Amino acid sequence: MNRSRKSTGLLVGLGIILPLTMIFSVGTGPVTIPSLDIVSLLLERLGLMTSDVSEQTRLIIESIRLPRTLLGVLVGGSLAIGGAAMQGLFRNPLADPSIIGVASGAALGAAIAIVLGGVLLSDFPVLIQNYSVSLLAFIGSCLTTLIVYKMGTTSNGTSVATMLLAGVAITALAGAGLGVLTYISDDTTLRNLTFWQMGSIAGATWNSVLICLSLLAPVILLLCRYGSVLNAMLLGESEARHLGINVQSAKFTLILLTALVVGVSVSVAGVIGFVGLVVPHLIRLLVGPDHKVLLPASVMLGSILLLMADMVARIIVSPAELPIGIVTALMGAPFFISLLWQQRKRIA
Amino acid sequence: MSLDIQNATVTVGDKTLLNDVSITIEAGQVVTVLGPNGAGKSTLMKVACGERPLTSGRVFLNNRNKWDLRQQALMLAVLPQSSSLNFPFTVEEVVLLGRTPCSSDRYENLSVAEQALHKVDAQHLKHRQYTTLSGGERQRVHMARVLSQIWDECPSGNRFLLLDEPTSALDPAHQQLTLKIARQQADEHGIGVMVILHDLNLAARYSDQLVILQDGSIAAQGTPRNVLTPEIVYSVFNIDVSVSDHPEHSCPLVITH
Repeated sequence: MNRSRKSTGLLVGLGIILPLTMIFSVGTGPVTIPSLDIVSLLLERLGLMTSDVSEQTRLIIESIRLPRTLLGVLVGGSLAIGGAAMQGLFRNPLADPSIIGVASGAALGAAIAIVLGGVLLSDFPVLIQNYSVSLLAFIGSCLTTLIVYKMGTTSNGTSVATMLLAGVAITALAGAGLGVLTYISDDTTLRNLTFWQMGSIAGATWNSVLICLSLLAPVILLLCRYGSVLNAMLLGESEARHLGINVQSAKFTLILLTALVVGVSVSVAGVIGFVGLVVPHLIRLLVGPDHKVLLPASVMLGSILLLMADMVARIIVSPAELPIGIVTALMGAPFFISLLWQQRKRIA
Repeated sequence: MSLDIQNATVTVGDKTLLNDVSITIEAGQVVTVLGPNGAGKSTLMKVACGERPLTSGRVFLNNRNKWDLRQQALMLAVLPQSSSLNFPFTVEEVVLLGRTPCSSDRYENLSVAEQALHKVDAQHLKHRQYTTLSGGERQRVHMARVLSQIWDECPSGNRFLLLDEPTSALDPAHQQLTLKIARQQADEHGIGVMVILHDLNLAARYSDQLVILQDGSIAAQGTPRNVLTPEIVYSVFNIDVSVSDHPEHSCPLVITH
């Protein structure tokens, strides 16, 4: 089967699996809710039929599970497309926001807003305070992307070693910053900070869903349009220019957009690593590196994988919960090691 | 219309990479740039395609020195010496990248890619993964890519093809093939070709004009017969040669001693 037919199949398949996973995700947890109840409640909300779902189930779905699932979809999709775009930009399949330090930079920015924002912005409404966390996370991720990009990229592409080392350095620096913030924060903030750092979408509220939807959805759609630009950039910057692409402005926009998806995701869900590495890699294995397919497919598979990881996080130590960042790290880190193993000749 | 480089000078720090170089590539002509390593050949090519800013001088593509990048891409294709592509595209996908600036539909693009691959004798590689190819095969695939980029006639002006050492990784048969393609593009489609070569005989056989660069300046310029003399070759390349007539083609034959 040729690649273009495979690609169509993949996109359609993911398009079918994603809503199913969402329904399972809403149904999974300490109280199991049958899929039929969920569907009928949703249909009722859309004014299509009436349902006899109990008040308690209604409450669980609408105020806990549904926002959590939607946040998972948005964050998973963002992290995956952020990873895919970053790998294209760096011309390197090992680039991932959490590995090269971009997520740490975002985390530092967000932590500054969490710890100090309470003091500085206490008079403002919650919505504005939440946006301030996203804004600082965005600034943090933007700066780190720029630094790593400048350090690691030459006209021959990106040096994996330099890129990874820059990531190590920035992660260490951000870690120090986070340490200072932890040191000066009070008990409540400390607890928030710790859980948020491990990554979790358990705290999802309609408020955070709204923030994500307003910021992430348009950026994801915008990024999906950069397919052919990223394809051409894989040839090299001057080759892309000869193909009629304004490389400087494309690079600038891509850095900004990836920093935005990563920053906002980190600000609402903490550092959830490896999604941006594993997802695009799986898609490339299936249909090749064509970004016109890779970008939208990564969004959907990213959402699906994050929801699955979140379900694992919910079930595995039930009734308690594991932070989802631990689950993705447990799945992603061995994967990363195996990729490094395959590429060790090229890195050396 | 032509690709016209006028008094191009490029200096970096106190080093002059190009010194007052003027070359005109007419539509339908093959112009070959020769010269020892570090003579400024690649710099000249980067100047010609607008990638490298000039310290002084100007470059006109079809009478204009500033084009919209996409417009320019429809008239001017550049084959780099080597490519850093390391993602597992299929060969066909790589060639299709050449169609990025074109507004044709997918069906047409596929047909152009197919023909371009056929031209460079690589149609059998079509479904292979690019990253598994040898250096020479990769070079031919990129040749097909740049051919497909300027496959269609462009309403804005003549088309030009810049080739930076297109034969460096090729076996003798494919060296000949690549330059035959360049010659054919010039003769049949009116494409102006500028090519950097090291092989004097390949240059003599396929070019209308030769330009010899030395230390950033033009040491000699003209038809192969006028330029490839033992004196000029000795003064530029520091090798002793004798020049006779090619037994089968009407071009000079350079024999090193």
